[in-house]
Amino acid sequence: MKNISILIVAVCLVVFISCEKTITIKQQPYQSKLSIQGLITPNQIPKIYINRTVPYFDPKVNTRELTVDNATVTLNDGATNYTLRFDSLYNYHYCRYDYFYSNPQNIQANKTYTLNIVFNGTTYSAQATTNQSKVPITSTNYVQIFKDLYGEHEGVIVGYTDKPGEENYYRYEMGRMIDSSVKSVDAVKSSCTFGQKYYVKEVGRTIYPDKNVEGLALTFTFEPNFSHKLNDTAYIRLETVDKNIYNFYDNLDRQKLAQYNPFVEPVFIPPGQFKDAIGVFGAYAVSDSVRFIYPE
Amino acid sequence: MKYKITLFIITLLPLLSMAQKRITISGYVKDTKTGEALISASVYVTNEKRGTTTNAYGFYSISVKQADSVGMVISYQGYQPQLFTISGKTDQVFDYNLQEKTNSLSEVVVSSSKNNNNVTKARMSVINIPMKQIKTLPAIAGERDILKIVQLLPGVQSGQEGTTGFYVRGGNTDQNLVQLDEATVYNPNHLFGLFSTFNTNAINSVTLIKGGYPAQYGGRLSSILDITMKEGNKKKFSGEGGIGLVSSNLTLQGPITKNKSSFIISARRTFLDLIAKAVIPKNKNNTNYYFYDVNAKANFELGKKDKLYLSFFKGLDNAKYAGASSLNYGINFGNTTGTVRWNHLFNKKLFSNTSFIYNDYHLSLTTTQDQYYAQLYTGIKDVNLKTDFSYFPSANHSIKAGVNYAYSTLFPSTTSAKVPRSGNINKPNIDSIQRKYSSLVSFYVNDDITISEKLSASVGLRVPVFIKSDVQYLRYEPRATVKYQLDDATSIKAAYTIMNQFQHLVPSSTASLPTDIWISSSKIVKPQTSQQIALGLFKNFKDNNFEASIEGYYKTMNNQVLFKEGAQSLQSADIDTKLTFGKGNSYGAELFVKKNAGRFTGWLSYTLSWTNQKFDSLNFGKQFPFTYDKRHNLSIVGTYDLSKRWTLSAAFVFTSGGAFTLPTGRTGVYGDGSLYDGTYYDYTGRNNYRYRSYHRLDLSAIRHGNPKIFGKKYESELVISVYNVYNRHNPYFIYLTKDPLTKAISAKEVSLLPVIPSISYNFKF
Repeated sequence: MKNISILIVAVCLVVFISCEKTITIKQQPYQSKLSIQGLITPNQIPKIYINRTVPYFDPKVNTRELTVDNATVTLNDGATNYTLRFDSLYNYHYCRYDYFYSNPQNIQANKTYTLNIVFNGTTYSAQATTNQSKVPITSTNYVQIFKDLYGEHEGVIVGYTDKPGEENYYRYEMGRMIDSSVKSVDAVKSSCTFGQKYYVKEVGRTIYPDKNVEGLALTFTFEPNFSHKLNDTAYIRLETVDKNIYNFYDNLDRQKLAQYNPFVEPVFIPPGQFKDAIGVFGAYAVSDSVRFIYPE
Repeated sequence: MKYKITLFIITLLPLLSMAQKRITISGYVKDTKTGEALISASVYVTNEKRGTTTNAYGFYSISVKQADSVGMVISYQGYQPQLFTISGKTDQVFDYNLQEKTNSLSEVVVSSSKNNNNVTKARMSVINIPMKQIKTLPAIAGERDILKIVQLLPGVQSGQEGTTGFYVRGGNTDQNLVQLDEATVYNPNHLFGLFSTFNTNAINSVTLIKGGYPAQYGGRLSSILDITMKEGNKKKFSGEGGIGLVSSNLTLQGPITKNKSSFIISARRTFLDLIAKAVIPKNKNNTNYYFYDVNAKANFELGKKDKLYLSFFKGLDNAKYAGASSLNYGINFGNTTGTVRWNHLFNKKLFSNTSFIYNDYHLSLTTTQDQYYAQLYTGIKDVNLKTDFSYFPSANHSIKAGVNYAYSTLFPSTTSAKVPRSGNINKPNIDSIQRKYSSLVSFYVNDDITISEKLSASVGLRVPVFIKSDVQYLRYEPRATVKYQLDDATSIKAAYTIMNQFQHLVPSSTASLPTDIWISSSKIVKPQTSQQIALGLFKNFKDNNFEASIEGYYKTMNNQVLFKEGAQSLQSADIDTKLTFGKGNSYGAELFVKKNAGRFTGWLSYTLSWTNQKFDSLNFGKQFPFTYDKRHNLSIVGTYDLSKRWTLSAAFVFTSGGAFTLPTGRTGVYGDGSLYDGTYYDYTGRNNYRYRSYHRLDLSAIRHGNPKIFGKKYESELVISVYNVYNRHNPYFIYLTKDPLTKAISAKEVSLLPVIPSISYNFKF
């Protein structure tokens, strides 16, 4: 009798076993676009990242293959026209070069900048004004577990008071010196620093608008991107970003959530400031840094 | 104004043909052996070359010119037609008993020439599903299934294999009203849609209406699946049952008082869980599944003019699955319905039915996929009171009118987030979910009119009023179907309908599981509305042995509901605010050829259709294909009586692939670390990719027998069937994986059901 039962169960398992295989999906015809990411802030040099989008299943994955190195990029502050040159910085965590357009002239506060990119005969233009207020961090704290849309994780709590009378959007940035023992949330460790320390800066995925909380004392909690040990030191700053930055990165944030979570509808990135390109050109202000020491 | 004119016409039309002296012939059509009512049986008057059909209780009434004698032909598919001549001088009450055809090959094929309702009636887009054929067609694991047959009909799309429900003329699953003895069944599925909740042994008749709706039906945009349970054998006690690989079932029926009242009780349950419990160690048993359903009905003749029917149905699914394909889920859902119905015959021309209906549905689902979980609970309780009148004032009119009051309580809840570190996902507290109460009052009147020998129509108006504490919607739904007879075997028909729907299922385009959330209309969620026009040519061949039709339709749907892009519920948030609204349209052509008689019976169904949706806040405001927009849909179904002992059958299905969404481009996110995983995506169109096409062939062979046990003969059937004979790996869903370092993307396709042989044994005593 037991043999018969086992046979029946075996048959039933065959019935309901699913089959899974890797398939090749025929890529739909896709017209590559420019992706422009240019964020400027007073007293720092401009960095404009210009890349091309590639078909979704395209094998090109590294930054050199994606970057556009033959565009003509200029920045105009209303009085002077600056031509930006192609440049790069080595990213020690991912062991790759990141490419951008820059020039040595610092961005100045309270000016409207016009970005012009000429690529393959097409001009892409957008403006940004550096008039955001610096909003100081009033407190920092650490929490072992907190829960949000991204799940349950540790968090750093940042306190600040919204600047009244302005439409503001906030996110954090945090800088640290780390080594190859530290991994980022995507489980990547540096494979090219061999114990040497290097500087990393992370910025918040989520941007918090001041809608309905105008002028109030506020806090938000973020999940640090890099792992840490007791007494590791980091420097936290608060960015006040403009609406264009908010719109673009908020869409990216929601898109990433939808990408991970199979129960959420996909988020399309709408055309923003650029005609026939996706991306953002925006301005932000940064508060003074606050030292933060991990308590565990 | 136009509604007032419609009402005026409907009121006046009965007066047009009152001049000549007429008599009324009325009564019931029943099965000889069991006394079971035969629904939609044809009652044809040879003197006047026209007829009628029985209603849901087997009742008919027809007015004819006074004559010395009247010739009547009573027919019903699967039964021997009967010819009678009765006196035509005065009103007559005749109950007819028809005998089921045996499985005899020497069957005398009595001409079914008068059973041509599909051509002659002013109804279109209506299919009566042959219950006898359901019992011979191949089925997964031998489980005979009504919904699997419905999916083989023109204009009906099945979902991806393993997903629930069916899609009619571009409508979502929630736009189908599935009624069992008038009670709504919100989720008519077992085992994620592999089987329906309906036990074929307990079912008397099934009718699918997908357009040209008579006014007595409302509340859904796309189809009505009207299922009537058997009443029970009024003549003698009998039973039937089956033992299959997945479940076993038993049906008992018999008279309470011979020829006057009867009962039927039918139950079915899976037994895999019981076997698994015995042979698999408890700590290794992460997968568990069972379902059961119980149908019960009793009817009582309270006198010559009154009948009482009590029906009960309960179905439950409970499943836990942990394992392959990055999917884990636990699901528990079930429907409970109860109906009390009272038939009253005022006179030969006026029939009424009053029903009290109770309905309780719940679905609780927790599922994880790729470290994220979704948890939802949907609860619905309906109480419904309705009265319907059928009035037959003259030969040229058959009027139906009624009123319906339904009180609904819905309590939906949904949560979706990353799985906590502890791995523990808290169950929702059902009592704390906010209740949403609503009432729906509907009035209707419908007249089937014979205007001339060639021209007839069915014209009606339904007026639903939806009432919620903060909002009220009044709608008018004119309905019209017109038929013009070209010759005895050919007609053309046209239909126009407006439908409204006040309960909505919010579908997810991304999840591969039935994450259904029911909500009712509100200030934010407006009622869904559809307008449909259909045009068809209907022709029968070879003395009605072959039925053929070709129909074209165009349907628009407003206030369609989808989740907003990126909408994610953290904790039982108000779902209304997570939704976005748009419109849809569907158009297509449907071909249906059916062979009704002979050793070989079956049908061919082909649908060519397009369904699109447009939402201002989705897909950059551009039109996009509906998830179940499948261009071609072909079904070929056949049953062959090889000998007295053997019946063979086959079903072949082909459908174009459904749509799903993938980004078309990607690029990097730069500046400051691994923000956003270093990549973002360029979506250029929603539902821009297609699954591979779906096709499969199923075969079955049935061996009929009459073995003896304890000296008594009983009927038996040994059913051998093979699902997906050539082991086609049809796509179930596709998911993507990304290498964290190289960011290279690869796609994986999951298929669900391979070739499945099965054997089952059915008996009847």
